[in-house]
Amino acid sequence: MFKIIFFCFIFIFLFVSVYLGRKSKGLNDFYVMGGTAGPWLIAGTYTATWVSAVGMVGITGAAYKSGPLMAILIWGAFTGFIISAFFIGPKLRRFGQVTLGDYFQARFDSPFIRILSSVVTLVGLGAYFISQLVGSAVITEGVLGIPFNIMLPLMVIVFAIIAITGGARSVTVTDTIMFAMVCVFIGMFFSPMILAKVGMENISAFAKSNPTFFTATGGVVGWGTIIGWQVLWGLGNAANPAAITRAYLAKDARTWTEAIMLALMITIPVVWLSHLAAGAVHVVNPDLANPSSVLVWAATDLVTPIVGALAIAGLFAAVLSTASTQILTLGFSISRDIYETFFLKEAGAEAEKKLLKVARGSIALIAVLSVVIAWGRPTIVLLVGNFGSSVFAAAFFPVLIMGLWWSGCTRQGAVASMLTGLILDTLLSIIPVFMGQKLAWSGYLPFGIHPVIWSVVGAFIVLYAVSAATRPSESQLMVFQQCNTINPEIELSTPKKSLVSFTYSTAAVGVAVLAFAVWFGSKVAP
Amino acid sequence: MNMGFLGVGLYHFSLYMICVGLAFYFMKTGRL
Repeated sequence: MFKIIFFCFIFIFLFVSVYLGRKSKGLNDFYVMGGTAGPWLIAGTYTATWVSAVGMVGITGAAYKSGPLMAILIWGAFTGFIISAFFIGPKLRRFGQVTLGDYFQARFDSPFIRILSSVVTLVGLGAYFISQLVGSAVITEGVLGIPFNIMLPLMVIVFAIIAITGGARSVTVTDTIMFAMVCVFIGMFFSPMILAKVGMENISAFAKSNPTFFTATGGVVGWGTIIGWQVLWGLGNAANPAAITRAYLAKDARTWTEAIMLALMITIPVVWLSHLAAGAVHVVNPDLANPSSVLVWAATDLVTPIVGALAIAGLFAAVLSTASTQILTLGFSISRDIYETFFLKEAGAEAEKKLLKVARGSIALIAVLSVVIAWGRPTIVLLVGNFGSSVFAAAFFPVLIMGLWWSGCTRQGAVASMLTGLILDTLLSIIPVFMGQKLAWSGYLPFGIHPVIWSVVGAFIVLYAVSAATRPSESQLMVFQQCNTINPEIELSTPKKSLVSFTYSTAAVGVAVLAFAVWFGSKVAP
Repeated sequence: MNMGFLGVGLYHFSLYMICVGLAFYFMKTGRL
């Protein structure tokens, strides 16, 4: 049954990708959909890239094992949504090209910083991508019983075909459809049904006898770690190339902001509901050997078969939607930042043809490499996923935001800051491994503060100190001006009324989330 | 009342409200 759903799924999405690929018009369309996407498509691809299988399955596993509230707090990227919506996305969009490297090279007038940013992207996003890939293959192996080493190349081929056929267009549309499935099937049907099935009176009774289960720390993590998650995922998400370059796709600045509001409106309630549901499963069955299988167990044993089947389809959607944007961004990092900048000899239509080929070839290359690296399920790979996000927070975030907001931010400052963030974060994260601890364990650092926080602070200090001692060139200032000059006719073409209604809706959802939290909190009082 | 739920609820509520405040502020100043 699950196998049939899964393969129907793959077939439908491949069909959609090929169809969209035929409609694709040239290189700009392949790279950024010609910059024409509306708020729903941007919100879809932005959130689908971020709501991963490892999150939906791994973190709901933590909710089941140690408590739902603690697990909800692991989703620390929401602050990053807001920083992207208002402080990075609109200005980056004004620059409007394809990769973060495009912006870094122009803003700091330095091909070297483009190479550096490509290396950070390939290392950080590559680590994150492969960890997602291994996680997803493990999950589908568990659900479908298909061996990991068959599942892995199969999934990579699917991601690669989606990305190669239509580039940004097919990835964006398929991501949006899949994310809608996650929200509707898991958020709207499955999770409320689990909560209803378990029963609020049983959950209340359980909370009385197990008070720590419903606390914010779950009795298992410290506040230093919880704050570390908010910084790691918040700043890491704001500077994650796969997420922030979605701003290039947006029709205008208002569309981008609307999209991120939409993402917040949908994601927070879905995270709350799914994790409370996973926690509720603990009340009726505390003995699952593998906590990560909690939603799969609930889908087969707790709800009606139709809702269960839809929930499994929603989980597959989470599995398949994360990696396509990542593989696209990784491919562009090679084709755009390295090949086009340093090796392209052709010009005009010839160049465009050649670049399309190279962009597709780069995606295929990343696909092959990722299968080779992830083959045999190396356990280290799962640990480096978080590390990828912390590298973006430390190496990219200070340079990205200061470059957009401070005209005095110079090339020397940017290079020094990026290197400081990268090296400091890598060192502080790796040292615990030699102490026999996990990667990025923070117990040995003062106050138990997470390595990423020290690295971000260090990178900001270096950026400021070196920039203050040097002067930006004319061309650096020109790009700064370009990012900071508003052209209302182009940028604010979406009616203001539309943004106002998105804003009021955001406020309404905010009130609803608080009301729900208070209501649920009153039911699980100790 | 479970204070953890109140706290995390307020945390997410404040994120929404920051978003709303920034949107209106940016619209007022002509940036959005």
